[in-house]
Amino acid sequence: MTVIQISQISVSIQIAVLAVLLGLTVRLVGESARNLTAVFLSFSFGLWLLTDLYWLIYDLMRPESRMPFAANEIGETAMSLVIAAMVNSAIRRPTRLPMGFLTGTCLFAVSNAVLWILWSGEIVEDIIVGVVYAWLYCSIVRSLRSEQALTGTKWIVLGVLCTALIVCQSLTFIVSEDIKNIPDLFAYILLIAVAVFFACLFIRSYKEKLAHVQMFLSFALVIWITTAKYMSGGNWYNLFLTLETPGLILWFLSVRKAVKAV
Amino acid sequence: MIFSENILICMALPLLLTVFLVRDNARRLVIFFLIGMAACLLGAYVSGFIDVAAGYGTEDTAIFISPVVEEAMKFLPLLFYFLMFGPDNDRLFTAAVGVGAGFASFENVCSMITSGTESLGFLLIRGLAVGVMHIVSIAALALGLVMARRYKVSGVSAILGALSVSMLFHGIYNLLASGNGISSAIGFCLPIVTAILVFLAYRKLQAK
Repeated sequence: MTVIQISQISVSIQIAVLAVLLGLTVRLVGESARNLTAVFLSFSFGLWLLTDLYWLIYDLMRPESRMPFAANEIGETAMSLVIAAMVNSAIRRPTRLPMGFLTGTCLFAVSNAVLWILWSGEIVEDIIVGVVYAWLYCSIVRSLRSEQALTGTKWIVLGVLCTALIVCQSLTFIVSEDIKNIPDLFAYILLIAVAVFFACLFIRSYKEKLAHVQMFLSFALVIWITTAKYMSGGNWYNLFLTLETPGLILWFLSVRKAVKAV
Repeated sequence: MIFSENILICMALPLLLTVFLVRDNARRLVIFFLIGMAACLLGAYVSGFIDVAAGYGTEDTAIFISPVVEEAMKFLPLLFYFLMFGPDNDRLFTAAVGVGAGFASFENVCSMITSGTESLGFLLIRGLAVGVMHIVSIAALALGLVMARRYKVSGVSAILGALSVSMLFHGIYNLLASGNGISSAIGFCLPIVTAILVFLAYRKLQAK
């Protein structure tokens, strides 16, 4: 089975799961007396479903060519904005993001955008997506801080891992082809390490029955997996694409739990 | 080569006279029908410009760029009406349907003049698929705006979210219709099926 075929199967499964989750979320909107987070979640799932569908149809019809700028890029950008709005709508204790956190988060987003541009050469699209992702990352960091989901030490660990990741990704563009695989492998290890970091925190919050912390950690986990997907190629891309689907189920379950706890 | 501006003038003049003879919802529908036709012409200008400027080629522009441009052109008058006049849901839907019908009618007329009117089967497929698609996509957009207001969700994210839904729907239709065999058949059926679903969703929303 080729890498593209595995991607197509993964996306098809994700579409089926999203269709079910969309139906369940619409029902949740009714049950929760139009809770804003549930409304935004249904919008997000709807957009995610359509962008996946567009990508799958394109891939089936034109398997050999790279997709040009199309409606799904606007859909993905809008989806990120809607997800950011969903995260912000769920924050119970609005707090300003300290300058250090703001700078670090924006630097990470800008570095990502620069790496995307270096990789794909799509300058305008990647700048727009980079700005939207900066806003999304800031919203997630703000939500995690508002619930004190991470201690000071954990924030430092996360910062170090993210910095190391950007360094490793950058090295792949600088070093010679012979040793390029080494920083590349380290980058993938770091991507998985951060995903495991968020997953462990999520499991701990689940055990401690902290509904809102759990919800924000599920948002962080899925957005991290999506970022990792955008940073990867080949089978690694497929791995993160496949991991997104259970992450989306976690989103729904944790939002439902938080909405019902209100 | 066709002179779309001349066609627009010929189609718009009788409708323009009608505006003075009818009232209320009928007048609103006619005005938005005219706006829809003008939006179609402007959309063609913008798509043509992008085709030349970006060098996508006519086919790729029609498949990938047109859905984005056309939905944006249809959305702008509707958004202006929604934000400036704060219409109730029924008026907003009348406006949306008017823009969609005007847009689809003008596009169909131009397409017929370009490709000929010999095959009734082809014209029926085009009329039903493209016509319904434009009306459905803008109705979905209006539904998004209604829901955004109902759930007090305003701002860029909600508006861009609603617009993206219609762009994606239109994009999926164009992509499917550009193929042959089963994919184009699915593409041509997609608007009708979605029309039924949107209609049911709207009825349910009204009932609540």
